[in-house]
Amino acid sequence: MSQLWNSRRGGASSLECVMAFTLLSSVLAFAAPLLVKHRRLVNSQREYRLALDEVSNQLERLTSLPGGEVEQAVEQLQLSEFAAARLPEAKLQRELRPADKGRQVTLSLTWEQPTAAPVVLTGWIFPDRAEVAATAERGGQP
Amino acid sequence: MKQQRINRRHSGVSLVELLVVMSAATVILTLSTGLIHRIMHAQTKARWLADVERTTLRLSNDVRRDVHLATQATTDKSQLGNGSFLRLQLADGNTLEYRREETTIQRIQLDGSRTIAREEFAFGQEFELEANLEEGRLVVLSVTSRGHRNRNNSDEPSRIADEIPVDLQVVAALGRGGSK
Repeated sequence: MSQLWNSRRGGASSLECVMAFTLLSSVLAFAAPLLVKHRRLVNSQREYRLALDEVSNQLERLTSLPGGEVEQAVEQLQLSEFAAARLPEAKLQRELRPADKGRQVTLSLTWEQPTAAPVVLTGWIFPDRAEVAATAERGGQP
Repeated sequence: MKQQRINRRHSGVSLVELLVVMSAATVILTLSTGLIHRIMHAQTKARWLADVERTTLRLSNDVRRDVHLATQATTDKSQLGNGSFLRLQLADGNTLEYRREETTIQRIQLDGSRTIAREEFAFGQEFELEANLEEGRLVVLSVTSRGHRNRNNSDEPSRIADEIPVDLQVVAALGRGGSK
């Protein structure tokens, strides 16, 4: 009689409810951090592109200058307002050193990002004709 | 007889049991619904981000390359018409014009007055645009979402477009694509 009733029961036992609750809780606990990570990934991607644009822009300004003005411009280099407003705690580092021909300027931009590497771009500034002629007159290397 | 009485006592659920199960089910359903909604929102946001970033990158590359190839640039609106904000004169005699529509930017290549190529950059939202010529050699183009910064502080419900704004600034020097 008892077996017959058990086979026809239409409800759920407490154990089944607890199991269902546990499974759903596990799914929720697993999915919630994924959403947070997704948000971080979205921001990180945008910030990386902005950083890349900013370094490209700065390098574009520097490499289009006449050779004599580059050194001073590198010393006075500052992050643009546009990038400063969008990249948290951004810092722009620069290095100007002589290369085989002309000079090599390396810009590196870091910002508040725990994992990604900084954006680093290097440009070459070749001496213009007047500079080459003046150096040749002095008998030195360009 | 005794066995039947015991079985009858277990044939139903008490009100307390029912309430506990219903409460648990309600909590789980609410959490699940919220989660599903957020996942769908995240999916839409990811797609939107991909679209905006792809368009922004394409525009950035095109503007930089075009300015490098150009010998002359005009950003003065009094000299431009048809919603144009940037006109570039190329060395081969052709002209490139960047025009602004409501939510798009168009890059049009002209041979005289004849259009020979057209490309569209669709952002899907209104934006503010500024194009300047600095020191006669640097073209500076800025594209930013309209009112994004102000809207962050308002009580208006946020839209996907507000969460993923358009942010672009390109600086490019004229005439670098040729002899230099």
